[in-house]
Amino acid sequence: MNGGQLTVVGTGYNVAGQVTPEALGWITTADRLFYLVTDAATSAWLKSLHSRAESLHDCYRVGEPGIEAYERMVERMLSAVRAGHATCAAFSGHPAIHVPPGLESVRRARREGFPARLLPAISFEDCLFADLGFDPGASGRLMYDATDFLVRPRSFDTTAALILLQVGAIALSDFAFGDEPNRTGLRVLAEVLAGHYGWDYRVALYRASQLPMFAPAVDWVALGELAAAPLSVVSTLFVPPLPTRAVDAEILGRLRETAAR
Amino acid sequence: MSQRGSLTVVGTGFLVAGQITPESLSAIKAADRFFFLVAEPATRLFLEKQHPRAESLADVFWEGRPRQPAYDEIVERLLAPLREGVNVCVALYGHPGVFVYSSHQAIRRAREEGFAARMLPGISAEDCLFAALEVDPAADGCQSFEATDFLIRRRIFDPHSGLVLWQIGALGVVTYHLRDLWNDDGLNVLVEVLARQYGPDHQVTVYEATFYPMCPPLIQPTRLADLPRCTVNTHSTLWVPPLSRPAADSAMLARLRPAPGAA
Repeated sequence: MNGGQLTVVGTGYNVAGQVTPEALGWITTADRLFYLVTDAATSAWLKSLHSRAESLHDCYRVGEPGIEAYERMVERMLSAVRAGHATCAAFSGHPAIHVPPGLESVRRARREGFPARLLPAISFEDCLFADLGFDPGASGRLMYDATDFLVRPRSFDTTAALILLQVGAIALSDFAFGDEPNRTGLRVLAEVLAGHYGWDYRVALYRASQLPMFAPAVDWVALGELAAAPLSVVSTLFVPPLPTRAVDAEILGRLRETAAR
Repeated sequence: MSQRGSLTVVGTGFLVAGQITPESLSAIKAADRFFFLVAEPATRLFLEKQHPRAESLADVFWEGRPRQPAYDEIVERLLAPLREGVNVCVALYGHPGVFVYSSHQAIRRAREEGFAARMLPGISAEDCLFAALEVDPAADGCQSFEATDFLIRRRIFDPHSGLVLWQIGALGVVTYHLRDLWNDDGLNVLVEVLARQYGPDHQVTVYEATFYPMCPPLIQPTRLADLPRCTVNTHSTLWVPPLSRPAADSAMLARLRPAPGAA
């Protein structure tokens, strides 16, 4: 091996406020730093930390499926690793959650025999739990990409919280500049959810704060108003749990019996 | 309406000193009174260095005490100094709002009494699991339940999405114990329920987050049927990967696409 290695980290959402010390260590000591972040302040901060910080944003081409850009990103990171560099890649949020090039670059590097690791980070869900005061442990929670949730219908428990990602970008797989949500998709989503929860059920559109001192965007609306609600392509939908189901006395009895042993 | 005094709840993550965010560390240092509840001694030492009056809340728990009164006592201990008009910060390990009753309750109560209260996100056990097992929970969707709740409320789940079950070592237990594995026989009940959907040969993973940089996380891949023979303790989590991905419904996909020229 030539000393090449890959560490993929996340920076959370609050510019420099949510990065972990272990991630910061890899960012500052790497030979090469690649990054893909959602705002200019985070980009400027990463450039101030590393003299060779390179954005991966130019891998996108307008009108092309995102998957082509991801492949270009993975290969750019891997070519640095293959050249023997200790390489770090930093993404907004958590690098395993909804960041296809993060996981793929780690898998590919390891397949080629290079040490590779992925570090945990503050995710959009972590911000949502803190900002909405919701404990996913209390009711359980389900997380789906909104398009996947609609296109591959699955059985799901409405007494658990439901979190749907990218509700503004339903069925939009091609990269585009700007922030024009797909309201056709949102209308269909509202219809599908209303079948389970009713049109009056209140849900929250959520967007984590991107800058320190700015409040997160939280808009509570009834499902009947969802299609016209304020949103961006990165908005997340939070559907609170329906009232909890009664406890199954037989299973509880069996567990108590085993616990008492 | 607005009172002097504020409450900030922060998380320390799992890795000692390695996963606390800068915004959380600032909140700790700026507090007049600082409380903490962490799972191991090195994080305690780290936090004691960050604040001259760091106070542990660990003494609310004792062998055999039901958990709820202990949680209520934590809330009262946080609210008391707040009412004297000081800025209070409390640090919990992991994410302070995930599988924690006292933090949310303290924030609700503080706000009801007119105090400013906020929670800052922390690195959760699930964040560590996704990173360590290299799993994208959004790829096929992910369902996450407390293991006892999953069983006794007969939760509906889809085996074609990922499934995370928490506290698999404490099935049916509501009392605090010092023992590591609280209820190993309960695992047989869990396996029985899961095997109906996944079959006994489905490969699952028992996962435990690490606190120390030199110790890798505990990752035990196993056949579902062999789960009761794994090393399981109260911090253990079960990851059940999805069965095959269902085919996409092309009629639905067509309905979702925006009309040309209109968003």
